[in-house]
Amino acid sequence: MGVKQTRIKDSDTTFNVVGGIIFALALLGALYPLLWMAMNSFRSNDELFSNPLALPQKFDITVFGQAWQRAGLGDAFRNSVLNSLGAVLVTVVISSPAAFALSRIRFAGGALILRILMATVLVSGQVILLPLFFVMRDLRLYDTLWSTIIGDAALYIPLSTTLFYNFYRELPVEIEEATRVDGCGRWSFYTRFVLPLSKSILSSVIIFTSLWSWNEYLYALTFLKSVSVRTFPVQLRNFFGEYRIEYNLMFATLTISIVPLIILYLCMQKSFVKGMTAGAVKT
Amino acid sequence: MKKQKKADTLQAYLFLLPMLLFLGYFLYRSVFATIGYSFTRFDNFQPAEFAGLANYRKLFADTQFWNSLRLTFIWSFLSAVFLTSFGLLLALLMEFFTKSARFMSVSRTILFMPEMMSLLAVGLLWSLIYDPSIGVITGIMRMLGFAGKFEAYANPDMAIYVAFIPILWRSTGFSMVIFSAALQGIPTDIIECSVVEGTSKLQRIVYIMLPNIIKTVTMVFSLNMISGFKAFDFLYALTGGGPGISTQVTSLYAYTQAYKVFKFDYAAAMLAVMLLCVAVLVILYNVLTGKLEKKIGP
Repeated sequence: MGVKQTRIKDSDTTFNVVGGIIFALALLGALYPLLWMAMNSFRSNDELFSNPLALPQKFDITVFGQAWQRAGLGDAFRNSVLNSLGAVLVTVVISSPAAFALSRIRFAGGALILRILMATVLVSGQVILLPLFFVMRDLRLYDTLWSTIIGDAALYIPLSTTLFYNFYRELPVEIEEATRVDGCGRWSFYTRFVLPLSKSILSSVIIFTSLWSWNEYLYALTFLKSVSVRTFPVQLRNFFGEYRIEYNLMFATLTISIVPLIILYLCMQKSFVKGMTAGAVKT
Repeated sequence: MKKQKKADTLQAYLFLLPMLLFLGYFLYRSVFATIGYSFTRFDNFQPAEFAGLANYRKLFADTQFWNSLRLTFIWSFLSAVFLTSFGLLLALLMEFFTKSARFMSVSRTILFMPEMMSLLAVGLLWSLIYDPSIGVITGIMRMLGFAGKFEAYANPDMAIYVAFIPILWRSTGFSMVIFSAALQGIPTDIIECSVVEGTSKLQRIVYIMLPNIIKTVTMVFSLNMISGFKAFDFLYALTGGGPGISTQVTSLYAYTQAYKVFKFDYAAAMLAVMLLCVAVLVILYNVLTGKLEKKIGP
C-alpha cells in the first residue's frame, strides 16, 4: 500500500510539473501573437525593423482612427452588419418553421428530408459557388449584399434546421396535447408556445450564423465587386494588398477586426460559447 | 384517421415550403449544376456543349491537380489529428489546473480568443509573424544572437506544415471548448470514487475520462477533418497557394481555374471530385468509428 501510494504521488508530481508547463506555454502561445499585433499598431516602421519584438514607446490611439479611415472600414463595417443581419434573419425565418414540422408532425418524406439536410454538412461553399454566381447574375443580385446574404443563408440553413430540430423534439408532448384540446391549431401552437420557449436555441443560432457571416470571405470576394458594398474581410484584404508599407496601419486594421467580437464575447460569454459550439455538437 | 394524416402532411409541407424552395433553388440545384458543368465544355462563360468525360480525362492527367489533392488530404489529416489532440490535451489540463472558477474562465477566454479572428485575418496576421524582416521568429532569432532572417517557406516540401501552425494557434480553442463541456458532463461521483480508490491523475484520464467522452472525441475529429478538407480563406490569405504550388490545396486550385483563367468546366470537375472524396472519407470514418466506439465506450 505504501509503495503504491508513493508511486501514485510520484506520477502525480510528474504530471503536475509537465502538465503545468504545457498549460502555461499554451496560454502564452495563444495570447502572444494577439499582443504582438496590438502593440505593433503603436510602433513606427523604423522601430519595427530595428527590433520586431520591442514594446511601443508611446501609445497614440489615433492610429486606429487613421487606419479606420484609410482602409475605408466605416462602409465595410456597415455592409458587414447588414450582411450578418440579413443572413441571420433569412436563416432563422426559414429554418425554424421547417424544423418545427420535421420534429412535431409525422408525415411522409420527413425522415428523408432530415437525412438530406444532415448530409449537406459535406457541401462546402465552393461546391455551389459557380452555379450561384450565374444565378446571382441572372437575378441581377450580383454586386449587391443580397447575393452574399442568400449564399450564406443557403449554407447555414441545413445546420440551423438540425439545431432547431433537436431542440423542438425535446419539448414535452403534453403541452401540445393540452393546447389541441383547447382548439388551438398547429400554427398558433407554433407561434404562441414553441417560439417563446425557444429563446436559448434561438440565441445559439443567431450567434453562430452572425459570426460565420461576419467572417465569411469566399462569397464576398466573388460576388461583391464595388467598393460601396464590400464587407469587412474583403476590405481588410484589399488594404493589405495596397498598403504593404505602413505596418502600424496594417496591425491596427487587424486589431480593429477582432475588437467587436471580443467585446461581444466578454458581454455574453456563456451564450457565446454555447452558440459557437452548438454548430458543432449534435449534428 | 386517414383524413387527419392527409391534413398533417399538407400542414407539414406548408411549414417546410420556404426551406424547400430556398434550398432547392440555391443549394441543391447548384450542387447538381456543378456536377453537370463538369461534363460540359464552357464557352463564353456558359455551358456550350456536352463534353462527356473530357474534363475528367484532362483532370486525371494533370499533375497539379494530384498535387493539390494530396495537399488537401494532408491538410485535412493535420486538422483532424492535431486540432483534436491539442484541444483534448488543453481541456484535460484545464480540468486539473484551474481549480478556481475565475482562473478557469480567464484561461478559457485566453485560449479561445484566437478563435474570434476570422480565418482571413489570421492568414494576414501570420504573414506578418512569418515575415523575414519584421516577423516574430526573425525577432526571436535576433534576440538569441543569430544574424539573418527567418524564411518560413525556404523548403517547399515543408511549406504546408509551416502554413498549418497558425491554424493550430487559431482553432485549437474551439475543440477545447467542446471537450471541456463534455468533461464537465461526466458524473462527479465516478471521478470522486476513483480518487478514493487511489488512482493517479494519468490513470484517471486514461481509464475514466477518455472512455466517457469517446463519442465527443470521434465527433470533433470528424468535424476537424471535414473543415480541413474545405479550407480556403486562410491559405488564400497566407500563401495564396505558394511558394510555387507547394500549398495549393484543391479548393485554391479550383478557384484559380474558375476565376483567374475562367475554366469553369474544369473547376467544376475538380469540385465534383472533391465532394466525392469528402463523402467517401466521412462514410469510411463513420463505419470505422462506429466499431471503435462500441469497443471503448462506457
